[in-house]
Amino acid sequence: MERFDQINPRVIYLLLAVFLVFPVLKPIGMPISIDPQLTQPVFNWIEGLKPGDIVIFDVAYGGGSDSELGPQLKAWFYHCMRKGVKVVGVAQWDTGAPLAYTAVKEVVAVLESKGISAKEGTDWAYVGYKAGGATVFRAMQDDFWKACGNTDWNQKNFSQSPLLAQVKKWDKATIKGFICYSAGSPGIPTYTTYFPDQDLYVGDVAVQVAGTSNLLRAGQVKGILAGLAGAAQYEKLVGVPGLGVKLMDAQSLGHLVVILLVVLGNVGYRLKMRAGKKRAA
Amino acid sequence: MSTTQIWVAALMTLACYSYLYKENVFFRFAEHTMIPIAVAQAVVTTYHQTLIPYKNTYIVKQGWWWMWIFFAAGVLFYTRLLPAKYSWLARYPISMQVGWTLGSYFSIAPRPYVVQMLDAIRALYNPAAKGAYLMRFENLLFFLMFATAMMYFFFTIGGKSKLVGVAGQWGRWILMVGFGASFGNTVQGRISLFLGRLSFLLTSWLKIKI
Repeated sequence: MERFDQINPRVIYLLLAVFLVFPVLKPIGMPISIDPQLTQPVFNWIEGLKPGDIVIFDVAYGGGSDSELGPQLKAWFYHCMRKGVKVVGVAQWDTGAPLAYTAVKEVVAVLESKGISAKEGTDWAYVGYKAGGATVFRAMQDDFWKACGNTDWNQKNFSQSPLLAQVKKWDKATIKGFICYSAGSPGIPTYTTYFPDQDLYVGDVAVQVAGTSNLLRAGQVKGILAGLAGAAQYEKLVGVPGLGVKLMDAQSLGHLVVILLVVLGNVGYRLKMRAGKKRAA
Repeated sequence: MSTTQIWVAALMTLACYSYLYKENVFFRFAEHTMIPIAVAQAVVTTYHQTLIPYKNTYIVKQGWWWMWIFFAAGVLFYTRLLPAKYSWLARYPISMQVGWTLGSYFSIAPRPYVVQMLDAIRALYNPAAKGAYLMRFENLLFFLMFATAMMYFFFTIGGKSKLVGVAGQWGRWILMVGFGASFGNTVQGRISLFLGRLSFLLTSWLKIKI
């Protein structure tokens, strides 16, 4: 028992891999509860908007966080298109910009197969990454077209997009809220600093949720999608189960394994300390 | 993604995970490939998404020819890669950027933190509020945890004052509870990352339906 705190890491990785792969291939069907303080407000925000209202999503993540934030973006975008809410996408991270565009296009294909309108340029537009950091976003607030060089992600002029023709600046009359899919910096602080009067929602990686909760409590952020669990909850709310729901069983079992190993490690440590004291006595 | 792209991505993923067994040449190859690709992608994206549109918007249409001065200053960053005879030129754009960033941060960065500091001041007694009893307990608990956690960092007074010393020890436990919550979220995040790659390997590479 004393050796529990010295388990070979490879054994731990193998154990974790087994407990993660098995429920992905054979789902258990554990229930998913909706967090009323984190996830529900994000859903209520879109649900409370009228068709034609414009919202903005910001991609502040890279490839390493696409596993968590990609499913969040897909579920949220699906919800917006189904409600008739218009979406404009921007990106603070260059590495995440193409990932988000790919994710949105996948959802567009699903929407069009169901007869829901999701036309690029009319129902949604993607501006993508513009270098310059927070300065560019501050400039977008006053003159969106100029700050982006009048060019979207596909090198098309803004004047060719009926949706972007309505978005000249980021004020409360034009934009009915932002959601920032954030994995680090730059990210949320851009909005809490330069857009404090706008409604801000966050799609957050799990690592950051503890810190972002302070912003939620202070009212700077209105709702948080917390990691892959947040994606699963949002998919359940929208009624379109996706990758988030499918991976929740594995997520839960993975946590159980980690808890078990932490307990075993501490038990082994305590027994070793006791045995050492006995020998010394 | 094309079949070739999927295979490259899958093999690179497996090469990265091979590090869990031990350091090996496949992991090194994947690591050394990813970094230059990421840099190249950033350069190409910036060129097409920012440089060209800004040149057309500001220099060509608006006639702001003096923007080329800032472009030249930006190019000077790359003189860091030149021999010492020329690399000192990079100090000009670095100093411009540091100075501008400092000025910007000092003027505007405290704003979101002030909001949180104001939120930390909470009423311990508000008889007019609904659920007044519950709010009093929650706010009281917050105040005690906040105060003791702050007292942990009073390293000079803690040794002289028993109150601050004991409160600081309580504060340490509260900080550890907070770190434990962060750790739990971190574990969730890391497991999610693996699950994302796992779903790619199973669905896109091996064509297994999940």
